[in-house]
Amino acid sequence: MFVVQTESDDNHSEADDSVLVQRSLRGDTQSFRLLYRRHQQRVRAIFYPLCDGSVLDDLVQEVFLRAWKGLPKFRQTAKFSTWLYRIAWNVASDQRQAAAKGRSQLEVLSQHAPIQQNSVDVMHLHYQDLVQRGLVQLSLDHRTVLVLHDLEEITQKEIAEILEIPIGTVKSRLFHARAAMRQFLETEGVQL
Amino acid sequence: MSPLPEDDPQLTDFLKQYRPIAPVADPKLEQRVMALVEKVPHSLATQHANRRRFRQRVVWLLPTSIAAGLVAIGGSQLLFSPQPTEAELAELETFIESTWQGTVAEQPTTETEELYPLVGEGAVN
Repeated sequence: MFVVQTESDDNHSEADDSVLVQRSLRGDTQSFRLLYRRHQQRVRAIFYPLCDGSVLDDLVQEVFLRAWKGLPKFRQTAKFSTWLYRIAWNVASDQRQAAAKGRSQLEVLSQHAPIQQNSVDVMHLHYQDLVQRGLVQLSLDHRTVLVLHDLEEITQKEIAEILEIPIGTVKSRLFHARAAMRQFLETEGVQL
Repeated sequence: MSPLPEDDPQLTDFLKQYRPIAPVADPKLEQRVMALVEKVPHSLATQHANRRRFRQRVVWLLPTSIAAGLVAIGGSQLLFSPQPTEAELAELETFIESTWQGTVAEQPTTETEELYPLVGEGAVN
């Protein structure tokens, strides 16, 4: 389950991250393992609405492998998580290009919906399905900003850094993504 | 143009509540990632080691290459300096002999003897 981090938690985590990054740079793989444990769940949560769920593990693996290889290039002044999410975004873009040659995203995501049907009530499942379908109908750019900002609570400034776009573009994409999502949900009978 | 609205709390709350939840990772994923990481020596540790090795090599390579360079220059001078042919040697030998003989043989000692040898002889007689 997604855990919302408070600002102090986040600062603490970043302080620890930089120590772990330093150790990893000296070749300490156990420190990198801790970085993996700390961030993999969030990388996973970001990936899931953006990519083919069947290759989620492979994508997470690719992100951390690229991070390990690229660690010497990581600027110590930057936030590790921002840099990691930037890698995740690149991996997601690469995967999307590859997937475009195969099955459509909609097919893949709709196949995954029944997997989550556990003992949760039907309405919850229905709304979950709606959100999933709503996200799928957004463009990747809009979906990414919506997921990062509204679901992962990453600041607009950081999103601008991750996606390497101006902050004005983040605001604009967020606005249009929300409008499209709201419209989709209303069409499906959801009153917000 | 009006600024874009910053927040849409109702929509955001709804999305958070019903967000798609990623399936649980394969329990072996961490092992898999770490196995790959172990295989790929990256990083500053490797870079430092490489730099140290490079510096050590430079320490040895620098004087060695200077010495080798000097030897090569000397060698090339010996190798590529023009060698006289047999004919030239023979000519040189003849020249030296004639010059040497000229210097050793009895020569006129004064300018008068050189210019007027007969005058000298007659005067003697």
